Amino acid sequence: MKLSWFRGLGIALLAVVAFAMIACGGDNDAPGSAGDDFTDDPTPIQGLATVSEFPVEIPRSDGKTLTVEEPPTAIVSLSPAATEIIFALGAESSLIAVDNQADFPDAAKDVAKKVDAYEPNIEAIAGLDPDLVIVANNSSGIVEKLDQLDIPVFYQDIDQDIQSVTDVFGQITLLGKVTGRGAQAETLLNGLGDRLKVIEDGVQDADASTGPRIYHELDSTFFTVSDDTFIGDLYRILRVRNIAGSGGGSAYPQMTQEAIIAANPSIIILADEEFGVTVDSVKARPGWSVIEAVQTDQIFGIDPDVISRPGPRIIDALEQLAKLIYPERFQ
Amino acid sequence: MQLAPTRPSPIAAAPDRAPLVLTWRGLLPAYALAALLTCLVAVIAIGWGTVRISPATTLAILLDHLPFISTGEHARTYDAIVWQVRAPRVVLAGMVGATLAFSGAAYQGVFRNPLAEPYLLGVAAGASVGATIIIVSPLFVTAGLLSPVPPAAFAGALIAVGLAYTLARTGPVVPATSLILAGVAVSSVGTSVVTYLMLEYNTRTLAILNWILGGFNTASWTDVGIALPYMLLAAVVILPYARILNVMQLDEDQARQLGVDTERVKIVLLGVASLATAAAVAVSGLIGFVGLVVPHAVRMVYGPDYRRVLPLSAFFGASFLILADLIARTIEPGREVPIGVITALVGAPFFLFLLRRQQRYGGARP
Amino acid sequence: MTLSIRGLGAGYPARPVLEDVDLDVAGGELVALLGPNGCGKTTLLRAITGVLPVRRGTLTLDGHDLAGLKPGQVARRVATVAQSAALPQRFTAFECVLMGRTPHLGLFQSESSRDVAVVRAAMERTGCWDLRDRLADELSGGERQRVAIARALAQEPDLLLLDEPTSHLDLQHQVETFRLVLDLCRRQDLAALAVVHDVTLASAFADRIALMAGGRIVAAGLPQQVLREDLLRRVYGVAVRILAHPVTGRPIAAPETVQLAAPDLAWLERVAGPDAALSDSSGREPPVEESPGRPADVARPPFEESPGRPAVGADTGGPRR
Repeated sequence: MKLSWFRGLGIALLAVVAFAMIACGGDNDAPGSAGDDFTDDPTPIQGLATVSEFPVEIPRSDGKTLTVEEPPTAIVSLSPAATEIIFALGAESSLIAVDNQADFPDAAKDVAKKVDAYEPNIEAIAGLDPDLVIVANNSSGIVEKLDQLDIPVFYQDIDQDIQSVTDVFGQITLLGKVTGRGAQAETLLNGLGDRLKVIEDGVQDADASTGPRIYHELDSTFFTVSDDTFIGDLYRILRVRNIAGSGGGSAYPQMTQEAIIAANPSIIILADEEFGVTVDSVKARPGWSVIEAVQTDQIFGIDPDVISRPGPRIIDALEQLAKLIYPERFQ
Repeated sequence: MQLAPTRPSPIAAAPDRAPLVLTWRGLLPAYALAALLTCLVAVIAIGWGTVRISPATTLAILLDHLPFISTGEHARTYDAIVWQVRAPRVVLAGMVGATLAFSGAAYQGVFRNPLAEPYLLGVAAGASVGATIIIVSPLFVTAGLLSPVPPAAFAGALIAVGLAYTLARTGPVVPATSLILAGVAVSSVGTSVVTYLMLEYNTRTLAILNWILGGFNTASWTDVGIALPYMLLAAVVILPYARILNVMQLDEDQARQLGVDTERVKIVLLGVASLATAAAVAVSGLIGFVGLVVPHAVRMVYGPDYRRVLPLSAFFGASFLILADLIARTIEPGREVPIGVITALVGAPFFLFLLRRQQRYGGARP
Repeated sequence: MTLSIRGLGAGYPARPVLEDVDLDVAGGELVALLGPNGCGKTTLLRAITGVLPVRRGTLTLDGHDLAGLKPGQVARRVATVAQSAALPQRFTAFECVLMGRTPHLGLFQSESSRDVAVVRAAMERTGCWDLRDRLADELSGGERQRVAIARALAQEPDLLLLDEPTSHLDLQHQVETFRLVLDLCRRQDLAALAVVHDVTLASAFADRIALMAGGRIVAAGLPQQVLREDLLRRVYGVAVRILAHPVTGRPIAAPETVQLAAPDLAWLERVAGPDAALSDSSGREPPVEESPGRPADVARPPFEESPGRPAVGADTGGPRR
């Protein structure tokens, strides 16, 4: 009996982790209280142009400051998104280990050392003798352990500090700074910014109040994204209404089925095709036949790794969504 | 509501009158009342949700789906919400609640232990292993009837109970204590396997957790149809044993000396109760608290006779879970709250209230 | 109405407790089963009720083979009163006695007015009708035992088995319980077999006494035939003085000292051998007459001769009827 109580408690705790995990899809990043107003802190998101000047000081999500004296040459990345950014910056030669979820670009899979991002093994990491460890989720307390060993930690919490496309760009700037590749970061951001501008211009005249209503499905029990996430930000940029809205304070809320039906979304985006959800299975759901998106066949799948990692590919995701939602505007 | 027949007090009783004897027929009004209450709760729950639909419209839609009754045209969205979403959800929650409470009562009776619950012999752990194996395998499909998850959970639950039973068996008899220990052991192994699979296949961790947490957000008439036969079977088989379960409350030796084939009763009741619980878990995941608390609460209020405890546990278990699910889906507009949180949050204080009340009045019945 | 046990062997898979037990209990008769702890008394009762399977020999009640019956059928003929009848919590005394009707009811049946009448008669006879609305867990030890006996009677049995029915009761309730049982035997032609530890109590109430040791019945007969100093010393390994009750003349066992001597195993082996069965169901012949030779000397207790030291239990007196 007692046992099952503990189990219940454990399940409840794990559930909290789960909510957060949805954010990152394949990422193994877990919780943290989303919605903290980190935007008060100007450093990480301002100034796209940065000059590589060492030593650099980077504020961390836990309020401490990371000081890097010279460009690191032995980086362990526990964040697939950060790994993607580092590759995009051309700094991959300084990577000595990545987490076991890192699969983009293909070369990331070839990094010889893998670290379990879900339960990072402090000994394994310390044994690699890194001069920088990148952490996007501190649910396991890895940051404090690395601090004790005097290993520099680049800690930007994926839930706490990355809630918009601007925040994603800020991450690129920070990683450029810390790896001594500020110029490359600027170039990358200019390219991404141009593509973002094209989309923004393309939807400039769209009226969000009469435009499409979107339901973004994370899994088959109707977990979705709220406006206050970097995924929700994509829909804001595209001027479509997310039926989850602010999510009642939860970044990744679970909707009731009737609320979805009543909201009558005109487009359904499935980020859960890897869990066996298909366009046909959505259409076959009891009661869903009355939904506009079902009647007009506006149900589309999207690669969850592309859309759920706060890296350079977020603009790929934006372009994909733009084509799905406004096929007449974007070819 | 007074379901317990008023019992003449020892002082007031005429010296010659025999106390009332419970008969099925005599209890019928009490059952009918409890059933009526459950139906009322169900209808209220169907009429209530994130989307406001007037009681009249709700009732009209429900009646429209009964044979031979037409109440005219309704908004298609409302019809979908009431009939395709809410009604199966409420009915399934009621069925699962009834099954868990009823099975819990049977388990408690067989083990003569008020802390027994339907997950005691490994149903929960077994079902989790079954479901998890499917979720991490390439077979994983979540779509309705085609999904292999419920059958796998069902099979896992039965394998776990069978394993516990086999482990506990010594010759022709299965001592209750060994059975409980074997159940605990099997559960631990199952939990370890699930934890391992969760970590090993961490892209599917969310799907596994979601299944384990349980709930009725995806309930459909199909789920109702899948689970109903097992639940009816349990009711039909276990209910006649109510009087025998009373006798089992003496110790096992005394029960046997009164002609009760205790080994057979154990196999039949635990087997059928586990079967129904496995079906419930397969369609709704693991929902705690109901199977433990509801029969216990019923016993505290209506006395220990299983002819009352079994049926009333089913009805009140149904009402309890319907209400818990109603809270889970309405307390945050448009959002779900895990139902396990609600059952514990609502159930625990209520249970403590009953416990304190019982202590205050000593062992006496109300 | 006679229970007849012939050559019975029974026990647990790893340990055959009973070997070659012969015993008869007739209707209207109370037989006390005496013997040291672990000698198989309770096992014998469990074998009779069918809880333990019979391995050898026969068990018949009025010619019907008990071992071949289903539990429900046995329960209609044989009822048991346990040591401290654990009654379930929160059931009333009436409901507990009503459970005695279980073997007469089908799975779907509820108790009829006839069942209630039987229960009422049983409760009135055992003097617990007034307790009917009390909760079982609120009853005193003596009241509980009366309820347990009433429940056994509600089974309408031919044979009543009692397993140390008075071991938790005070003197008054011990006497009352045995009076009640004896009265029931006589009036309802019940055969009763009671496991008793108190030798003097057994002597006072039992029609006959069967003495068990090592899984066999080593002596059976009238109290004065079985309760003999040499026999008790051999079986229990303790020196006992047998006195005669001043009124009834029945034996009273008074231990002479607390010093123990080991049971005479060699003697037990010889008398309990297959060709040395001492139990005589008729009980007319004093079985110890057959006792071979003198056993090895038992150490004489050092205080034996001290006159100022009254034997323990001597002043409790025999229960009067």
